[in-house]
Amino acid sequence: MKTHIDTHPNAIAIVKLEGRLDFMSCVDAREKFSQAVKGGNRNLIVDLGDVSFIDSSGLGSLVGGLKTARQAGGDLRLARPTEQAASVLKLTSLDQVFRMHPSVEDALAVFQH
Amino acid sequence: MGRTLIAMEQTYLLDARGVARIHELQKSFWGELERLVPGRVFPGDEMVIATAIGELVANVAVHAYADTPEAERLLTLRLEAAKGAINVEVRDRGIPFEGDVNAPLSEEPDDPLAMFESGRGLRMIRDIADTLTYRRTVEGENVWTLRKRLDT
Repeated sequence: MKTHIDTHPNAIAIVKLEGRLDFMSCVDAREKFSQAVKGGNRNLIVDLGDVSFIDSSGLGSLVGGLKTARQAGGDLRLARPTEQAASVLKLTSLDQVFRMHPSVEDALAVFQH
Repeated sequence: MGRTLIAMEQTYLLDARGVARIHELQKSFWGELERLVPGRVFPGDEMVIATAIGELVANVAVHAYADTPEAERLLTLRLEAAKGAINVEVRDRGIPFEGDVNAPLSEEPDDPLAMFESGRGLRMIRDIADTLTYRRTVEGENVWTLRKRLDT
């Protein structure tokens, strides 16, 4: 899985993930979220648009990232969830926990508000 | 559909390349099925079954093969379309599964975050599949089978 992080004002970081977010990449994803928050970016936007597949371990890393962000006084939102991502989020009722946005710009607008 | 339409079986090493190839086998399988019985399969079927297979594979890698060197982590995946259903079989030679496949699913608590603990993968599979079974063979293999009807 590839990760690309873009920081923005207002303690925002856009974390773009590419590839599978699964049992093999979940630890790396979790570390990236933690590093981003530790680096002063407590508002994370996770761009899932190019994530080919998410499993329960991948969901676990998103949950971990959410907790870390909120503990720092921020939040973690999801942008561009794929159909498969949306289906597993719904299956686990995590669609009631994560705020989802159709685009990164949409999520940015909320954080910058 | 009547008797078996398609059956594909392959053994993989559970490294990153193997996991990608498991995904490729599924794409071939669904492509073939669509050719044989056009319109019979909905895109949602392929997606949810891929999700369930992903959880089975993850369980094998993380639990069954927890103490196995990566070079020895072999998994056999069998996909079959027969009698209006998809049958999936996953076999590995790791340690036995000690849980209860058919343990009653606990009630959903008010907080989905709270329940995001161990066993969530199994729960996801059970929400997707019609049936899920596990058995340990005398030869020391774990065998997981999953069945999902296509007409539901």
